[in-house]
Amino acid sequence: MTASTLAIENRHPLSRGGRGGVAAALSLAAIALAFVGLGVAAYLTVVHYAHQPIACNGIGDCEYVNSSKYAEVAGVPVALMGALAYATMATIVALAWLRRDAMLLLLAWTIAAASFAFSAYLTYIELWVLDAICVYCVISASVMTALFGVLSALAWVHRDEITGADDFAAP
Amino acid sequence: MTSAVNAKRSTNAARASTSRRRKSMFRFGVFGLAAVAVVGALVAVQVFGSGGGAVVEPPIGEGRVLGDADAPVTIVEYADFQCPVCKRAATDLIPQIEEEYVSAGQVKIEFRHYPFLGQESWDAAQAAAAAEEQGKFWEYYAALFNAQGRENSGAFSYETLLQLAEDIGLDVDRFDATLSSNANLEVIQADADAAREKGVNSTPTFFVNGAKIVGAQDVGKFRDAIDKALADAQEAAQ
Repeated sequence: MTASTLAIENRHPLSRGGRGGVAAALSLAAIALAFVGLGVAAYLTVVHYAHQPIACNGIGDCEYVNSSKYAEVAGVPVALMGALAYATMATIVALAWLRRDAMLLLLAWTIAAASFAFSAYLTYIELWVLDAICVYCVISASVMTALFGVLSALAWVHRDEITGADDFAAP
Repeated sequence: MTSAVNAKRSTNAARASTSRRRKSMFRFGVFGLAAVAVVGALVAVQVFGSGGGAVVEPPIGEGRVLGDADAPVTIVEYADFQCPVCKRAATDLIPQIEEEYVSAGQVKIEFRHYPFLGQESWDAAQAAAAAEEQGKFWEYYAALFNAQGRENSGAFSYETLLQLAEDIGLDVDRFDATLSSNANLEVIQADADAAREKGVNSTPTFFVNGAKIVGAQDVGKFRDAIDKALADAQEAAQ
């Protein structure tokens, strides 16, 4: 019975062994990056709608990129999608940490993978289709890349838990 | 016997570990594929969808004015053809004001030049003035916005300006002569000077019977200003 109790205790997936410190650092880094990204994406969303008096006054390329057809998908600004993705990832990573739930990490990693791929596509559009660079978009793409890296590392640290703790209960 | 048990255990453990690793990779693979599928769908919607990249339809007006010359409210728009926000005003805002107020004879919209984003802004403004001489300002206005590119990138090169003139059926030789002689430079300069005097420093800037609105703001803001101007005009008439 002692053995099985031990096994259950060991099932707190995100706090096992010496990886706790690394996992905590990675989680914090991911949340911090997501907040930086959220700030940039929120600003770009405001610029996109331009309900503030943000008009053409010499920062043309940013506005050109942000008002091109590539700045929206079916009427939804990509900046808004980015802001939602960042907010969701920050929330999920925090929840995964608090609830010690590895599957939430897999979910965050999936969102990061999708966001990273989409932001790579948007950077391609900037460079080769629009031939214009928007500094804030580049910052967001860099943050997204870093976030994907950090979440990949975090998911890798917890790869065994992601497999499902039930599968290795009794050797 | 103990060693046999241990050997069996370690084989089992190795097997379990391999299966775990496989399962782990499998989950990452499945979720990764899901992520790629979602992005693929987004890109497909963007590339093949009809949304975005709105086209400016040429409004019907006289000279640089849209609507009834006797309309009680005048909206003056200062714009630069290279400015993306001005394009957005042309695709969304102005058609909406046209539909709600201009067609009812309550509002007229006057276009004024405020080219301030560089050489191609001046060239485009002069080209629009050359089209105005042939009575096709608004057609050319739409053509320019539809051809808009990055600032001073050649989107409004001399050749393109001639091509746009041809596209909307202008007399290209006459257009070329007007444009190459800088015949309308002073008119545009006068517009720009007047704008600067009124404190315009970005485009588009609108004046609704004198009340300033900066940027292609929500149509609601324009409705408020127009309704107020209409009420004031009515009061003054009584």
